Amino acid sequence: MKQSEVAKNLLENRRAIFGFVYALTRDFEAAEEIFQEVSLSILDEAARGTRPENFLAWSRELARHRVADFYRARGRAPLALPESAIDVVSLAFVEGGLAPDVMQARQKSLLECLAELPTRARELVEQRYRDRRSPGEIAAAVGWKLNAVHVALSKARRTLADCVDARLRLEGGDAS
Amino acid sequence: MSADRFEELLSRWENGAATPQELGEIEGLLRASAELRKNFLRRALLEVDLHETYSGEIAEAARQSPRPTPVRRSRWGRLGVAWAAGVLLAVLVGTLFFMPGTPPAPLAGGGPRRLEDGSVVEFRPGSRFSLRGRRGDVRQLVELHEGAGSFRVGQGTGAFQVKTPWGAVTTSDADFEVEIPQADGLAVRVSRGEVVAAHGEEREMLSAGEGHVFEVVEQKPTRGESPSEKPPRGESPRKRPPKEKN
Repeated sequence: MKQSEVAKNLLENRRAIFGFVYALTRDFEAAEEIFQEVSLSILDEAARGTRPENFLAWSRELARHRVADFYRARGRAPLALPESAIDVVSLAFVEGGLAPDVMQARQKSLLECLAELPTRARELVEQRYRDRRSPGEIAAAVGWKLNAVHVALSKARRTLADCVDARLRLEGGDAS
Repeated sequence: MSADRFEELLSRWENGAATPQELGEIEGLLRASAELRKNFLRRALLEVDLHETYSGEIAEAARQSPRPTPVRRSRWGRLGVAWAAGVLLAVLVGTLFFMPGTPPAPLAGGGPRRLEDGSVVEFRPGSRFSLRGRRGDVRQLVELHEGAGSFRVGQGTGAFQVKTPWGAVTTSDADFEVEIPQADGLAVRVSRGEVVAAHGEEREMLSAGEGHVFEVVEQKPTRGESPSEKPPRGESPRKRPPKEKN
């Protein structure tokens, strides 16, 4: 595999790799930082002549090490899964496959599903993900109890996840 | 039973409310069931997709529409095989230092636009940029990938930051212009206030009437600075501001 092919693979699989890192850290900012490190490692390895047979598996392996490094350097984020969970989260991603075209389809489906979400639920989702407000901040803004916001957000996420899966199945994609 | 419990734990994980014991419980359930691993995977990916959906120009499109607009998100796939290898690698290296999400769409200048914090930005026609919105301590993050933009930033809470493949410009209160000349450098001009322009390890504090051009010797972009950096008012121009982490 040429270096340019590695670069192309990285672009195509970036969401799957980033998702893996996010799943381990549950911290979007930390995941961005680690993803940058992983990307550099991938390019460095490619420049040294490494030619992975399975790019995504190879990338995840590099990401595992970077996440472990991150935990060691910074300490595990309080909301992250234990470091011992890296293996099983890796397994979940391996089992999921996550081909680039499926990841693209997921994103497209999500946009369509968001359009179908009831207005109130969509507003909560927007506050959480667009405005980056914590559930506590949302509760204060809308005058709800914190638990009510947790419940409403969870319901919205379940609805979206089910909707995305259904659309992927309709389109013949993998809903994993 | 374990599926219901897992759903409850997953919700707490998503909401950032899971205790260490519950996180350990999630790990145990993941080890025990392929079905739960599959569920965890789809929910983790949903989190990432939601974050990315509401970033940058996607968020802007969503705000302009009463319902989220199904914006086509990736040009990379369509262009992939057509790209010459060298161009791809060069673009990749630049892109990696931005968000791992949506590559920027080429957007026309379109005149001045006001951001949520009251700042006014205007891009030269043909520029490629992404409006990322609030990011941690940064009240507005703008990624300029190509072209030029002018920025009128009023006082507010947190820093306003413009990232480019070649460095970043950060301020809390200033009017300034950023240009990427011939896609391999960074030019900054300040007409009001102060900014900190960073290119690799190099830092320049620029005041009204000052400008600086960072010339790129090697054809390799610098890594973008952390969005959480704030302009180090009063520090010496070349002193690296301390990094803060959320």
